[in-house]
Amino acid sequence: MSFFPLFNILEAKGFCTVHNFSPNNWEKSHKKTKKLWLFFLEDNLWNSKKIGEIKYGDSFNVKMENLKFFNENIDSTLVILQLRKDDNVPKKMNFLPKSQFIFTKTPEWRATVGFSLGLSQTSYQGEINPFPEKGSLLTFHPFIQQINIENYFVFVNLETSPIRRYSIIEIYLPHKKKFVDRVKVYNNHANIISLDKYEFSKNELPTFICRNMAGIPFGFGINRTSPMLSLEHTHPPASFTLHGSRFQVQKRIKTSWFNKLKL
Amino acid sequence: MNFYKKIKNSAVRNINPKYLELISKRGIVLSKIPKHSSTVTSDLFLYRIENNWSTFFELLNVNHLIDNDNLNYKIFEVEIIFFNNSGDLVERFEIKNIRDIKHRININEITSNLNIKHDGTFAVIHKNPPIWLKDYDCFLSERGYTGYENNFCGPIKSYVHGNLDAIYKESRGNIKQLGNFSFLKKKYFVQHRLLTRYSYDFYWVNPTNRKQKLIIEELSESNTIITRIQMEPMGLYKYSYKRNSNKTDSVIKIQSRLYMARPIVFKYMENSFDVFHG
Repeated sequence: MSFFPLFNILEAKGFCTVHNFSPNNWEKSHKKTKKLWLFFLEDNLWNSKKIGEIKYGDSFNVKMENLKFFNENIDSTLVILQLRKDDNVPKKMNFLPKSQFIFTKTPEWRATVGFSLGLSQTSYQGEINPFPEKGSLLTFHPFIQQINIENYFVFVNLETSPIRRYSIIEIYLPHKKKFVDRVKVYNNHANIISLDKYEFSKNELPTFICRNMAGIPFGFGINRTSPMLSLEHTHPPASFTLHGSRFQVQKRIKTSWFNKLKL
Repeated sequence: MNFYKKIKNSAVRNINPKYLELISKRGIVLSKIPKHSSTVTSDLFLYRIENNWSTFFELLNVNHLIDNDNLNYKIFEVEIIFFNNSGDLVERFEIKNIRDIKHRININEITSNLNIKHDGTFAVIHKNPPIWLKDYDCFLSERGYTGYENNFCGPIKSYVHGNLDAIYKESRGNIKQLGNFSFLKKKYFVQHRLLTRYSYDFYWVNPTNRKQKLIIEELSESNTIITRIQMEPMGLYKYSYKRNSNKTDSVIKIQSRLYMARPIVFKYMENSFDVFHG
C-alpha cells in the first residue's frame, strides 16, 4: 500500500475514508497513531499538506468538496492520501514520497473510496500505487447499462513523477475488430470518458487500450432522475487465470490484442 | 517459470498449506492447485432472487479473450452450477452456442425455470480452455461481474466482481473446493465503517472442503454484538446490520480459520443501494 485516491466523477463528489487498522491480524502492521498527508499537483510539482492524525483503530473521512485550498487549484483532478510517521514532508516535491510502513498484502490495506450524489453513495475498498511510466492498459468493459443511465469509463493514473504527459486511449469492439474512437488521457489524473454516444448494445464488449500509460479502469453509471450511482473496476487480463505465471499470460494476451486492434 | 517459483509450486501442490504456513507466512497460499492442467475454476457468485431482487451475470467469452487466434473460440459454452445456502449442489444448467463475445445472463429466468426459490450461489464453468495455459501452470478462472437490481431499493444495477477462487470441476464432473484454511485462528477486519444512517447486509461464502466456524463481531464505541455461526463447505451466510440512530458507527471483525473472511457487502441508503467487497 502506498496511497489512497480521492477525486470527483462529474458532479458526484469524491470522499475517501482512511482507516488506521489492519485488515488482518497475521501480517505485520504498525499499530500506532499515524499522520494523514495529502498530495496534489500544482505547477508540475507534488504539493503536500498534513491534514490530520489518526489514532490506531480510528478512521478519517476526507471529502473533496471540503478541500478549499485545493479547489483553488485547477490543474489537478486527483488528490492522493498517505499514512505517514513524520511531520516533515517537503512542501513541494519532484517525486512522491515512499511509504514508511510495511502494510498488509492479503488483502492490501485499503481505504473506502467513494462518491456521493444527493443521498446516494457508491464506494469501493481501494488503494493506488504509482504505475511505471512504461505501463500499458488492456481492459474489457462489461457493464454498460441501458435504461435511464449515463455510462462512463474512468481511467485513474498515478505516477511518482509530477511532470505532465498525455497518452491516447483507443476504444474498440474486439469481436468485430472495429475501431470506435481515440481519447486523450493524462497522467496523475482521473480521466472520465462518456460512453453513451457510442450506443454500445448490452452484448457488446467495449475494449480499452492504452499503449503507453497504465491505470485503474472503472465503469461508472449514474441515474440522475432518481439519483443512484454504480461503480466497479474492470479487470486486467491476468484475472482470467489462476496460479502459475499469470503475468506472463497477461503479457501474451496484451501483445496479441495490441497487434490485432490497431488504428 | 523461475527456480524459486518452481520450488514454491511444487511445495504448494504436495504439502498441506497448513504446514507450509508453519514454516513461513510467505508460504500461505489462499487456494489449492488443481491436479489436472485443463481444470477450470470459478468463484461462487451470490445470486439474490428473494424479496424482489434480480441478479445478472455478465458472461464473457474468456477463451476468446485469452486466445483470439483460435477460431474455435468464436462460439462458446458454459455450465452454470447452482448451490443452496447449505452448499448443496441444486442444479446444473448449460448454455451452448453463445455467439456474442459478451452475454448478459438473467439468473432469475434460469432459477425460475429450475424451480429454485431461495438465494444461494452459482459457479460458471467454461468448456475447452486454451491448452497452452498449462505451459504457464495457469488455470482458466471465472471471476466475472455480477449485477444486482431491485426497483424497491434503487433504479439501476450495482455490480461487483468475483473475489474468491472457490471451486473447480474435475474431469469426471465432481466439484471440488479450492479454498485453503489455517490451523490457527485468523482475524479479518472489514476496512469500512458502518454508518448508523444506513443498513447493510454481509454475505460470506465458505470456499473450503470443511465446515468453518465464524465469530462475527460488530464493534462500536458503546457495544459489541457477537454472532457465532457455522458454514458448510460452499455454504453461504448472511449477516444484517439495521440502521438505528441510537447506535454509534461500527466496524465488523471476523474470527475464523479462513485466511481472508472477506464478505460481499450490500449497503442500503434512502433510495439507492451499493454493492462492494469488504
